[in-house]
Amino acid sequence: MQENDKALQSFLIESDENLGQLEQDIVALERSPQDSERIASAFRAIHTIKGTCGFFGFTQLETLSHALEDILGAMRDGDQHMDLPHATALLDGVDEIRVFLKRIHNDGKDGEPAPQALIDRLHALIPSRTQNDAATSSPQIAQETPEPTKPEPAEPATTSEQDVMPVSDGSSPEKTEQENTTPQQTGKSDTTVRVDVVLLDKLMNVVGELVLTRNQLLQHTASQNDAQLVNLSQRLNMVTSELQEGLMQTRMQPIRNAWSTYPRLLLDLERKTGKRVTPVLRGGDTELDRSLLEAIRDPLIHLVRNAVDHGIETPEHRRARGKPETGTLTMSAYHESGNVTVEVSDDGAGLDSDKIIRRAMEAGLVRPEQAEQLTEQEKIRYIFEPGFSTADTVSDLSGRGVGLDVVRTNVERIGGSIDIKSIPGRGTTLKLKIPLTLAIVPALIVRCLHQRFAIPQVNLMEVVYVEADRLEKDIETVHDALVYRLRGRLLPLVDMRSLMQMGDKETHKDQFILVLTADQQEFGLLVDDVRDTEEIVVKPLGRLLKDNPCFAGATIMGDGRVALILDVKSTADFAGVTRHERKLRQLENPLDAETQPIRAAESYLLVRPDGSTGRSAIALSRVSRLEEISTDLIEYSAGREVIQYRGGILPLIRLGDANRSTPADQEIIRIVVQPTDFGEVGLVVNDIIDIVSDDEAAIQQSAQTEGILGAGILQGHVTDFIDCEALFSRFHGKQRSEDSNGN
Amino acid sequence: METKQLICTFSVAGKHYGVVVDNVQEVLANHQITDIPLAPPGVLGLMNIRGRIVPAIALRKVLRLPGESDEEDTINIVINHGGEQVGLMVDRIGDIVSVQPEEIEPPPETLKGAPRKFMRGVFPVQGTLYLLLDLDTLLADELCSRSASRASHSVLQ
Repeated sequence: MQENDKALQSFLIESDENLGQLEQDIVALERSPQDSERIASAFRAIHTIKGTCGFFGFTQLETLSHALEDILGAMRDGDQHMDLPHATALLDGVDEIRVFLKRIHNDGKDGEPAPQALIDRLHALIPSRTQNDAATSSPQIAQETPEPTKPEPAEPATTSEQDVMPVSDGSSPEKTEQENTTPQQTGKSDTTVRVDVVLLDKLMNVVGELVLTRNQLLQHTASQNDAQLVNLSQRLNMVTSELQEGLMQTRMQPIRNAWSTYPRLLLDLERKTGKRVTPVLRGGDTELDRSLLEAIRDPLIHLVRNAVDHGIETPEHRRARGKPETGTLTMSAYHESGNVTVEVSDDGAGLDSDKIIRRAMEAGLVRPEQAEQLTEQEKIRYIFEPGFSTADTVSDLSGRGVGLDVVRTNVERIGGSIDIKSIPGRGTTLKLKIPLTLAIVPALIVRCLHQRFAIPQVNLMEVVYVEADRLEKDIETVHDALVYRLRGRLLPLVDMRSLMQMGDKETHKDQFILVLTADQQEFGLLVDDVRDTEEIVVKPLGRLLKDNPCFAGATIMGDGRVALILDVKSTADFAGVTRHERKLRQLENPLDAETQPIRAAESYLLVRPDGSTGRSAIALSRVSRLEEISTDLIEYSAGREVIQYRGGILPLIRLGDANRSTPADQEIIRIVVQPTDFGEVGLVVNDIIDIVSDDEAAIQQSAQTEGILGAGILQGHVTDFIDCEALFSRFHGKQRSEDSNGN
Repeated sequence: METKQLICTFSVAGKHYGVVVDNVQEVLANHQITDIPLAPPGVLGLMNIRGRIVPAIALRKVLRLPGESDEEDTINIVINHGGEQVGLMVDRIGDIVSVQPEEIEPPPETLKGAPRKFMRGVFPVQGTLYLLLDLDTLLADELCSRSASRASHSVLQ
């Protein structure tokens, strides 16, 4: 009984593999019907399944596989060629066999017969001669494979037979069959062993435990004065590391495993869309931890569907644009700086950045004035925002068009990242960066109250230290949200203690801000202490805690205690940082109007304005870019100086006295580009001196001049602090009055 | 055909309980437990049991029993439940007793309230009645699996 169960198990596993092979062969044959090796391989696969069915007495499954075998047999003999109807019918047959296998797996029986419609469809494809054969003969291999002598014209039949069976020297086809399969199978089983994944995971756990014990032993040894013990523990150290490394390798699988279903997928997609696509797969040997491979399997399929559905154009379109009718879908995988990079690229229509940004504005993801400042690349990235879709029509191929945000979430969840490049009319490339392994990740260990937490290094940008004395000053509150000014930007803050309801603050202690990224959004996490960076072994939290909103898993520290691993993305969502950030952005302008005048710890751009030798300071947070342009480029609009800038018109404002004349000898002018409520404005300056950060800066003398806040001392020089708001509103007001005068 | 059932007995808050011994992996005393912020209220924390991360269930809370367990002296019955391990925090561990299946009776009608659904039955040991716990319903209880964050999230907003 036990023996039989085992045999049945291995039948199921082998059949599954054979079906995979068969599927790939059928799809490949549909493209190149003459590939005799493929035909032979497909025939072998179905033949093995059919044969073993007979052994187990699964007569219904046997009937079905027999029909498939007949068709493939006819192809092998050159009586038939693989075309789309054949391939479709065969693939449907393969799917049906899978249903059978599932039933056998569950019930141990093959149960009901295959749908008659399918059987009829398959039988219709079998050439009549073979069909008669099959109908009359018992399912013996020798009998259904046709005799070498055939009624068909001898010439083509013989050639194809030679192609298929190069070793055939007059022996019966059945014998050839065995010669072909047997050596290959034994060769494989000599060098590889099938191991249950559960066992591997268990071993991984044990090795993790061994590593832990080793760490403790090494710590203990260091305090002992025993040369022998030191020696032994060093050896144990090395062996443990080697064992750990070796075991990690057993979990690696080539990415080809995830790709194997694509040819079939593409064929289905081609059928549905009427497009033609040639897949190009590169770097299938690149290996990934199997859990990661599982994690990216679905996202990759999604990308492939997207590429065919939205990327590649219909043959007519392609022809009209002078492209080959058949599109190319390239999948490539390679190692790059400790990560695995997987690319999915098509040579389709590319993305329409204007359309994307319009959609983003409609969805309220971006404001029109923000949109103007975005680069093409930044615009395209909005395609990853939740709930975003550019598909004009809802398509059943790529779901409801939603999904790239889900892809991104899934990829980021495993510590990866996704990027997109697109050239209109030339195609789109999606680039996934995946860590090599999930099981061990570098993480920063931090402390919050009495507990330690691990923060995955991939999410960590920087750590800011805030002294206890400065806490109140540096950490501000805007509408109940904590913020920190990081180099002139507002960084939303999350206090770990209150978020996790861990209890009261430690009073008057230094704090650390971890600057973390999730979803391209940065936020700061306030913790009590920062310890080391460690390579931690990630362990799952289990069923009871799977709902937890903030933690991705747990790890065991050197002292044997458990520490939780923060899931940065989920934590950001849980804390509502993403929303806060948006709220803050909207608040930023009115807020700045109130508080802008000279803040502590602000950085300044020191400039020498036109026509004066004095120094002026512009708050760096108000500066978008610095540009140098030739004076020739200055043009005039409504009597004002403007330049053409990034496809738009940039009005220029001269600092200093209203002396508008540029010194004749000066051919280059420098412009400080600043964002305002009504688009960008360029401040023309004579010279850019330096960037200074000075929290002692204070206006010591209030100004008499409009557009100047006042004067203070920076770097030992008297410096005017420029009041950008006043300057702009004066400028804007003038413009408005000019406009109304004109009317 | 008929076999005796081995039951591991223990007590929480002065009441006597038992779980089928097949489920019990080991019993630990005073194991180090790490808090889990935002965890379900019945989950006390996480333990490291030879490299495995195992949640510890505060049985007193889940059974809706009054009082706090003395932190000094906690016993952990590590059970295997559907391939995962879970630690049950109890006050005192008892003997392993063997019970005839017919000795296990349905819980009396007078036993009311939430804990009733966790009971598979009642069995006597030397004149004392023990309650046999059903681990499936126990661990599916909202105090064990419903994350505390659900409720608190709305408060935060």
